[in-house]
Amino acid sequence: MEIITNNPLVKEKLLQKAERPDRVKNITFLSDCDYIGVLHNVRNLVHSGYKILTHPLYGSVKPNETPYRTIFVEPGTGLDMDSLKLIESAIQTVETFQKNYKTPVWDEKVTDDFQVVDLDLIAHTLNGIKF
Amino acid sequence: MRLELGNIFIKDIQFAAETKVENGVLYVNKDEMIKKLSTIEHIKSVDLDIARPGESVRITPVKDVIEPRVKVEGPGGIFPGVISKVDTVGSGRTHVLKGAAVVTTGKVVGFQEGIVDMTGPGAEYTPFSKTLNLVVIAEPEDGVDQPRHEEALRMVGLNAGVYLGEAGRNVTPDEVKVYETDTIFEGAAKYPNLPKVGYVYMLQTQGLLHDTYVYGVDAKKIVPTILYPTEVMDGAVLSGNCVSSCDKNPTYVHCNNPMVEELYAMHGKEINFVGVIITNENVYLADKERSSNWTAKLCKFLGLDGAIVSQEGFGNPDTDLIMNCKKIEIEGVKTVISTDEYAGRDGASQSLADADVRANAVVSNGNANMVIVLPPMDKVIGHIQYIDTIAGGFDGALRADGSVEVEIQAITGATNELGFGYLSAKGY
Repeated sequence: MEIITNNPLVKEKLLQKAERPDRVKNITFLSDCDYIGVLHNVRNLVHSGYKILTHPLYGSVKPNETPYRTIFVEPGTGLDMDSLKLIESAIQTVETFQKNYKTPVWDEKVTDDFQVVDLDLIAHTLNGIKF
Repeated sequence: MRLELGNIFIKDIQFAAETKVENGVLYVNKDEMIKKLSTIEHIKSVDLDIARPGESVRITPVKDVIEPRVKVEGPGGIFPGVISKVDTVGSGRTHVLKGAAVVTTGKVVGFQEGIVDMTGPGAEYTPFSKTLNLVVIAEPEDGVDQPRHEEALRMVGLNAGVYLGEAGRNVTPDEVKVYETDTIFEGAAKYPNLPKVGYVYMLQTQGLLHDTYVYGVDAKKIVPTILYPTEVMDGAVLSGNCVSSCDKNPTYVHCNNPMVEELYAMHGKEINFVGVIITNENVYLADKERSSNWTAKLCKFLGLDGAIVSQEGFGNPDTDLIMNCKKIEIEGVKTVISTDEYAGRDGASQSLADADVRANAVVSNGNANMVIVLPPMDKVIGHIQYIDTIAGGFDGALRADGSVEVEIQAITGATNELGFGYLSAKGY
């Protein structure tokens, strides 16, 4: 599988936490992307034939609170409609939240915690995948 | 399986020399309780406070709420697999300190939420403004990481609930309610003309601050299975989550699941309440497919005519909810789903991140994006400075006069998807 993320902690630590790091072919780190930017990148991948493996809206920290997203994908065979529907509805949901209010500029303590929670959820997800 | 719940009505909580229940008052030996809770690993300090309905008190950030209970007859103990041994619970007799609650507060991460106001407009949105709350303020040892901190705080709350529950062991309850579930065949024979209804109980299972435990098992790792409804009343299911507190089930709510209560109330009259199917809400899409396949398979296998499906959380679980609904309906079992909405501040946006034409019977428990101004309170228990960084809060949410402008998603239990709140749809 391949992992798309804008969370520096995922880039730095996910493979150390992975029971089977060999399953991860590649981590693409999008340093200058926000939450919805990661989703747009994944949508582009879906249009080029990739399949989404994890839910884009995981976690209860809202899309106008946390700036971080990490999504697992894998190359497929042609356009996967389920993945396309999933990413489009996720983008629509994020846009609704951003209309309510924009993601604040947090202090470092808060962004650090957002990174920690994101890494935890993603590491659990990765280690739950056995096949 | 038959459980007697003996409710002991609590009218007040007071600190005293001895922990006991007398004439409806819960007396608490503060020093003894603090000493007991201080032995829990990674806890540096514990303090206790009391918040009563109507007092000008704000508790935040609320981690969990626990109802004091004690098993007085029958196998096992409260919170099996966590506090007690893993014996199967849900039979015999359990005493409940009805009206009392343990509320744990403590900062795990910098963006936690969970507000309980004991008076004012905010109190109208949380059921825990009506309970007599023994608030446990627990601080972790220096340098403890977030997962250990969350676990320590969770254990403090559960142990506090068990400690207080013990005070009701030898007290004669004010009322005794009986809940009984027959085996599938006995039930079907007893109520041949009633529709067989099951309850699909979706549990939040994603990771740190987003977890649920069943008999001590991390529910991320379960496949859907069947519980007797009375098992949840003895704490078989408990909370390890608190992010976006409006639609997370505190442990108190698991033990008092209103879906279970209501289905029991109709049992033998309008329906045959067959049992509970628990399932999870994982991040990996294949897990969602597997769990919803199994949930639908179990509904069919039990011969259900109808199923109530309740969600926990938002976004990711919307997909599980719709998958469950769709697949159960395809099996020929009618569904009603219970959820909440994130429909924007004006309520005009699409409520869920997923949808299906078969989801044609939906109960909403409110719009979590609704904005409310909470007036200042005379006293705050916990950490008010985190109000700005809670779900629904935003920069400037905390005003100079102490009032707070938030979305109701910041209020504990405001849009609870089991209907344990005040925004539920009701039929008359």
